Amino acid sequence: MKQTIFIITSIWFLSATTGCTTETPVKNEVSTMDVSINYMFDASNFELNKEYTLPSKEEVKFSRISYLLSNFYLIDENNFKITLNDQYLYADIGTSKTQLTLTNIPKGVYTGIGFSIGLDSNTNHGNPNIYATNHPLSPINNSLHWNWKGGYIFTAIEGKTLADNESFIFHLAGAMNRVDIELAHPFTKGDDALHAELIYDVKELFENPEVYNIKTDGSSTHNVSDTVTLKLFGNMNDVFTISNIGNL
Amino acid sequence: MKKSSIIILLTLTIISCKDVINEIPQNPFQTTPYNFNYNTSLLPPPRIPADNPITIEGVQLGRMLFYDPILSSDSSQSCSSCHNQKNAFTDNNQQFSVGVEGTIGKRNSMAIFNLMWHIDGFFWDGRSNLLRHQAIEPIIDETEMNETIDHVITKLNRSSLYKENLQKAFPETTFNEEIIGKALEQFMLSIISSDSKFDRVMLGLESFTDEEKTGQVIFNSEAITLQNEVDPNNPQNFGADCFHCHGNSLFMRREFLANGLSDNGDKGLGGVTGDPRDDYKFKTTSLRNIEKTAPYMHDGRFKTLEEVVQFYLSDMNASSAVDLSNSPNLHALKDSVYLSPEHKKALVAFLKTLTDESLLTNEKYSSPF
Repeated sequence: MKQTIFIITSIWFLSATTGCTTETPVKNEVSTMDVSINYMFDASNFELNKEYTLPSKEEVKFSRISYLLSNFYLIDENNFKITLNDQYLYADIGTSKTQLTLTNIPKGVYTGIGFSIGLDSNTNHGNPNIYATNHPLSPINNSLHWNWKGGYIFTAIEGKTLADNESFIFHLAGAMNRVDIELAHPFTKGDDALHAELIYDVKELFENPEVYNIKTDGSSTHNVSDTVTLKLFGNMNDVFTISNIGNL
Repeated sequence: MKKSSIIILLTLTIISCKDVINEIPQNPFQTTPYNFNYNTSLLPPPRIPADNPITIEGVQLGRMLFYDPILSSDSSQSCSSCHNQKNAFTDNNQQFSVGVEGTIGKRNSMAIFNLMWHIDGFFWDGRSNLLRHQAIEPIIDETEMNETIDHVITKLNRSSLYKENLQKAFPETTFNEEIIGKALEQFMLSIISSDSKFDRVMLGLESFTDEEKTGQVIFNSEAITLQNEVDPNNPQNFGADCFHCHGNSLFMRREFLANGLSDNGDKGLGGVTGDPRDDYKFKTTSLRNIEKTAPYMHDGRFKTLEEVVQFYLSDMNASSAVDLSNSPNLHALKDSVYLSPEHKKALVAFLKTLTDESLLTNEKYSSPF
């Protein structure tokens, strides 16, 4: 009898203590990747309110460059896209909001990453009030929303040309103009968090494939389909490059 | 033997779970979470300070403080003296508010509603990052309530009514500056405006008149200068470009912006930061309830909405305090913009659909005394 009680007591004690002990975390099969974006103007670090000469030979100062990224995905070694749903970046050079932590990155071998400048149509025209004010898509947070369900500005570029001291303002929008970016860069995702460094070259916006001249091509747009919008969106395909992806 | 075994088992279990048991607060402070009653398709999700959760008891204490002249040096003025609910919590159409000593302020009293979504600071010049800090300033400002915080604390601690309500709302047993600020913050954060005609139209419960519809199009359309005029019958060709700075469901923008006003000696945000690039930038206020918050601008220089509309359609280059080439947000407005008299009227008609009558009369926001 005593032996039985002892055994029961031992089992009870073990189960009670085990039940109240914090479990050792199991290593997740998914992890994170910090993404930071550095801004360049050709070979120089880019800064707002600094003078730059555009490929059109126009001298300018930029006062704002803001944009939205969405539709992040990874390309695995079998050339499958691993989508990272509902992850967005609101980037604003002026306020240094240029960092993002992508979550739910599965372990694996990858050949590159992809994302979009802008949003898909449903997200673009959805109710923006669903987002908390610190969400990348909150209109209060990003000041990149037209009005009510009118959609988002995908990229805002503002500044002035020095020759005539005239301001320019490009508010580039329209779901049909979304720019899909895919960047090849092999990397392996193991247990540790990754860090990706991207480069955004502002000069590309005004150069490749077509040189943009503010005086002759236009100093303003808020239209989703005019030539200013189409030309500047057309120059966004190569604004991003990857400088590194590695472990933190 | 069986009894002793059970006692041993229970004791072992309790010992093994000691840490868990210790996590249960010994004297939990009980308040009731405040329920924000608004349609979440109209406004963003609530944004509550983590260190000052909104409670029914905290809001009630803040409401008492807001309406009580005990906060002023001669017990003649409360917050509500210059923030009248009937005027969307502005100062009864006064250009400048008058303090307890008869001194006149230099800025127009600001509206109080939907403040939980104000991210980048309070006051016209953004000098307070937190609403609880903003709430204290008028109390100690000699041109306003001209009181000292120490004296307010003494008065409140002497009051059995306030002591009773303090103990319901906060764990503290005596008042201090932080508690006064937090209680006022809770009340002001509780004030929500989302029941205007505009909101009801968005929900499909009402319809705009033809004039209001035209006004909405003008509000949301680009400004086009006379030389670019193409079709005089299409309101989309005569936008007033309001939406760039007042475009989301809160009808405001978080940034402090220069809007082309002439210099009246007030540098706004620049006076706070010392950065010349911030000179003449002021808070971009909400256009909700704009009909009720006259006069307009930081210095109340415009008496009517019609005057405001006319200002934005005027040649700002002639009078602006800032170099407009540095303000791309005014790019489209800086040259004279044309709007016909009918379209100006329609724009004002649309602006008036932003009036929330329930805000002006809601008992939750009225004096508790």
